[in-house]
Amino acid sequence: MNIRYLPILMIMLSPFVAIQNSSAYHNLNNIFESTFVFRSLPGMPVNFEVDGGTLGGGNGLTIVQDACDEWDGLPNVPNFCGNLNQLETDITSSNFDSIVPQNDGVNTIVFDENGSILADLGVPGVLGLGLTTFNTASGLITDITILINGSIPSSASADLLATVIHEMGHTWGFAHVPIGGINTTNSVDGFDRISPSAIPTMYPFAIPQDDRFGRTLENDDLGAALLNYGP
Amino acid sequence: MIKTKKINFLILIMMLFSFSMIVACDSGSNRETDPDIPTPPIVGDDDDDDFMDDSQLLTGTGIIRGSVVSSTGTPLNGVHVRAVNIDDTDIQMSSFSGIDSDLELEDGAFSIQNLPPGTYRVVIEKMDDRSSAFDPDRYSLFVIAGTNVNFPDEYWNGADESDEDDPSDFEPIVVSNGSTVNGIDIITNN
Repeated sequence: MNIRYLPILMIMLSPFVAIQNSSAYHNLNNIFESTFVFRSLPGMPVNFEVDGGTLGGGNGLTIVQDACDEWDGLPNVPNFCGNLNQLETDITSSNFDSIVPQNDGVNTIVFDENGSILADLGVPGVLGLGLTTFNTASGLITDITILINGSIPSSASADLLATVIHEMGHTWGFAHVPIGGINTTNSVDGFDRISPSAIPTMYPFAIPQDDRFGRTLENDDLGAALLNYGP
Repeated sequence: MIKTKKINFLILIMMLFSFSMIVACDSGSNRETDPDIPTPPIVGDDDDDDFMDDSQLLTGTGIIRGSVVSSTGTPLNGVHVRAVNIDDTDIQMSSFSGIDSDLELEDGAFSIQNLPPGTYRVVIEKMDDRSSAFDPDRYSLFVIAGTNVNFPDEYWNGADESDEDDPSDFEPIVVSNGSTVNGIDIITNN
């Protein structure tokens, strides 16, 4: 058997492996035997261990702090980010397994400077990936790993800060939202196009007109945050 | 060698979870550049003043509830339901049909919560066969379950809502602080 296909087989055989997101009101959730479970943080704020390497050739910790500031600036929602402890070690594909074990309760942000870790995980070329481990009965998130692809130069086409904010959103429990989908090309008809600057950060793609617009959270992002963590 | 090691790592994780009933690992939440946009245009500034300000939030929010059914009355799940503020169309919030306001599964039901007070119109959008941004695989099993449902995008049209109404006709919906507007029941056109 080709080893690449083995994980897929195991997913098919196991009803308890949640590998696919479910989405409603932009909160990640899953359906287990007809039970609808939302994913959410068990407590706030969340402390992170941050990769000791660089991100896009620059200071990744600054970008992470800026992303935290954006989430923590939401009104009527507790702060999401706690301590950001930068590791001395540069996490690479050669030490990722040992430094970032899943479900150890340590939340980690990885700067995948050459994109090799994401490639090894089967998602080459993506801008970022947010992994959560969670209790399927309660939906409570027990472990977070965020990987940011540093091999794609930050630009108006794909902004690193916007990507970090987006992936953080996933790990708070928020899913993708299609608002902005009819903006992507003029060939997609639809009612009420939204200005690119107002496309939610949880839109699944880099904002085509200028991805730096993703640096600011929008109404729909806040709506999801209020639903899970609001008063 | 490293790649094989990583795959083994994933297999280990999945084996672990396959024997556990209480934890699961999500691997699907990523962000990409849109393949439908080969050469994104770039604009000059990143000014963004579209986000509602705190004073709006302090006045509270409201909820729009309703349902989506086909022309034959069949409840439709996985339909993207978007509320658009008529006075500022950059205020948009949305949900998918199939989940009620208590966040319980209910065929065809939808609720859009935490809406800033204002006047809205509600539009429904099908999720497949249009662009990568509406690819159900990017959203959920729940949305996937509602795919292959063909209907034109259309607004809720109040008392004139039917399977033959003009998709561009709409009835304004007033959302106020603490209010829940019920009965936004939409019938798709053929």
